[in-house]
Amino acid sequence: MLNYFKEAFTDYEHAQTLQTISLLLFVAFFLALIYFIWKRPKEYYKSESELPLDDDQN
Amino acid sequence: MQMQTFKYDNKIVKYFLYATIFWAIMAFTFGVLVATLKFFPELPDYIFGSDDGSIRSLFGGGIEGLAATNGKMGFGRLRMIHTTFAVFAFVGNGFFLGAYYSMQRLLKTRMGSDLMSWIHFWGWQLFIALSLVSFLYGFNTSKEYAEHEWPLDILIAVVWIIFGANMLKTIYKRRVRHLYVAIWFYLGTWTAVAMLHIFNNLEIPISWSLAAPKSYSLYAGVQDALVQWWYGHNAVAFVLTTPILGLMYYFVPKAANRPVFSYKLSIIHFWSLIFVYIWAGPHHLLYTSLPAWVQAVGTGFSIMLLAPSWGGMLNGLLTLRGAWDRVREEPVLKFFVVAITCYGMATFEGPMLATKTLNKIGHFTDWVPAHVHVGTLGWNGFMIFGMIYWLAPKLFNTKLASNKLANAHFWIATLGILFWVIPMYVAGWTQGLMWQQFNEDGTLKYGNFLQTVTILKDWLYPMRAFGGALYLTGGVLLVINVWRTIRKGSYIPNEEAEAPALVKISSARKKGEGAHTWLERMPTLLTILSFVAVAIGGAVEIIPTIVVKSNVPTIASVTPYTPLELEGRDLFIREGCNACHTQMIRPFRDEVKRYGEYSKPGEYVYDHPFLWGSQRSGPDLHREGGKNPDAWHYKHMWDPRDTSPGSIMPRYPWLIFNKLDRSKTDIKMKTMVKLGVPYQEEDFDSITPSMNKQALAIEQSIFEADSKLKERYEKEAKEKGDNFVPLRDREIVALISYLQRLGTDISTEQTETTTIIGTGK
Repeated sequence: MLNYFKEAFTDYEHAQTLQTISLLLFVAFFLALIYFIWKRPKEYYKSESELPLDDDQN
Repeated sequence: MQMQTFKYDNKIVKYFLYATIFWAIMAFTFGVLVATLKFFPELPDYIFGSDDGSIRSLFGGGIEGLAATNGKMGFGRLRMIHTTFAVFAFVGNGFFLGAYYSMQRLLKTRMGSDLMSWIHFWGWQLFIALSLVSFLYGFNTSKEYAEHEWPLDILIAVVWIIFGANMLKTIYKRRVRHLYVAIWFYLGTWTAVAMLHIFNNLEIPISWSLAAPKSYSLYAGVQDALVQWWYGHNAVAFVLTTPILGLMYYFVPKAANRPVFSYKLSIIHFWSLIFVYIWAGPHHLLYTSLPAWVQAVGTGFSIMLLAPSWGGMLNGLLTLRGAWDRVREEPVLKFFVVAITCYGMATFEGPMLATKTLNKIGHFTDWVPAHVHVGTLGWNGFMIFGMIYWLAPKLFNTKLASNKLANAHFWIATLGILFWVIPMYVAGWTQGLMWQQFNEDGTLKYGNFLQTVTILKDWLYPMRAFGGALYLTGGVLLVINVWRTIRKGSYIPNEEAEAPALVKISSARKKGEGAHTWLERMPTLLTILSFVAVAIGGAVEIIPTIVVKSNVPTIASVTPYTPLELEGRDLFIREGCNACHTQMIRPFRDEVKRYGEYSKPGEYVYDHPFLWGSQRSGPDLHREGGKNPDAWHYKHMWDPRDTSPGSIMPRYPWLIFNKLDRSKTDIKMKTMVKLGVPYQEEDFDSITPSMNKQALAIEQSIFEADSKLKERYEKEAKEKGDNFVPLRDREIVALISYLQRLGTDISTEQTETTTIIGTGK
């Protein structure tokens, strides 16, 4: 299966495109992360962070 | 809402508690032992026997006593036992202890399956016990932290998958809608370790023999090195970091009785850490024969790692805001504070060591183990100690037997860390800088490698072992304290709890529900996404390095090892020589001057596995071939201090007594052919004559150099008659043939005329 994609990696013409895509994906990953974190309501964080504290009686 | 009653499984938690403590003591004991061997290499001689009149051995035996151990007390083997105990046994069991306790409570349910819990527990202990036995007997693959031979690799994989299935099963029957961040860390750990373990241990066994397992890595040379350090670095990330962070996010809020400082930060911490960590592996291979672009990626991502790591550290420390007064009295919090601080120090140091400037000095020296010890014993160890002091009283429904004793443990262990870490730093810098010094006339200031070792063993190495002994003493105090706590407490194997049932809702995203909120109630998807996050980095580095031919230019003059050399190489692996000797000359003026022409990627194409090593307690061996006569090697293995006064190398008399086992040479070569090593038909036809010829030449050269030795062997032949094994048939000769071969495929003169074949297509 790898051999099928081999050309795309070995070909120097594609190198720049690959690098650009990698960079964009990398940036997109963090942008998406920040977006998700901002979008969530305050109460969510409050209730989540208290999960360990109300988890048992002892 | 309907309340449901259920029972937490405390018995499995108790067993993991005992296992953690037991293996902690074992790991520390072996640590002190290997640290001692570094300045007292004659220790095995004093125990088992010696031919040196000044050494009176414990049992009064001669050198035969030492030889009869067959290397069971060799540094190389004990070191891998120590690391397996520390990483997989102590920290591994500690993680399971915390995970089994916290998951049940965070999810308000019993573990998914009791049977799976117990298979996991006993399977893991079996793996560790078998590792001890197999390493003592010399069965190892040489790949650091993955030295386990193929049957153990399979066992680890099976147990690990059962652990993961059990976790997921627990998650599916939970009574809490969302997964707390600690559980993400557990899931992320599970996914990443499964991936790393499987890919790094792809190997072909030479036979299906379980009694004498032996396999060769699927990858060779540069590629094997990349995969290994992609694994090695991420073993640090996903065995020693993410699981412990999961524990931190649960137990620090618990002990401080306040929620984590910022839950938002913990989410950023999780995703960015698992995403970035996986890329950083190549920083273990800076300046080596690895393609430069992979090295650059490794450095870049290592520096980026500072951000999520310190975010997490601050998150942990700031959780204690407003509770600092309690840190003074509460030993649990003290341990946590130092643990998190050590996490911060280690994750600052890591990126620094990953820069080329500092790596040049620190790589191959004691600086790296110093760094690892801050992480494993400062960060992981203290986290686990704190957790145990908090958890043991809870489990046994009582108070900790003695806060005083716990405080004493804290201080003794902290001092212990300082006592070994500081000497190791100093040793690292001293050695790294000494290697680089030149005289004005252009010669090396410390031309003899030994000078850079003997200076370390007078004070620095003994101090380091003393620090380890202190840390071990602290561990003993823990045992006493926990034992006393257990005695006065009472434990309930199945603790009753109740919680409202979780209303079933559709897995589809609800209207107005945030995407990540939805994601968190979808554990499978969360696991898959964490897999994607960890797989990207690996894929970007590893796939091109393996498929792009031009990354490893072939050198025409590099040929496969002869049958005898191949056997010698396996002896090198068996004894764990690569624990102290590297086979990688970096392209620096001082290294080229000291060892010879720097190492080329094409030289390693037949090295299954690669043996670059990671530390130089002894000199690099990549250009060892032809440097010293055969007779020198013979004497050096017999007693390193005879040829190299002050050497810290162990003696290897059994290599000289043992007959070489040639019965597997044929299948070893056949396995190599499967891996792409071009042995020809005629190579197989001529195995015995080829081995005999090469061995005889070595025997003759040794006897020529030392006629007394020749007389001794002739005398022995007369005495033993038919039982006599000629020198040429003994293990030592195979090892010498391998050492004499190292780095001789190319010489400086030859390189210029060598045609490089393969143009990248």
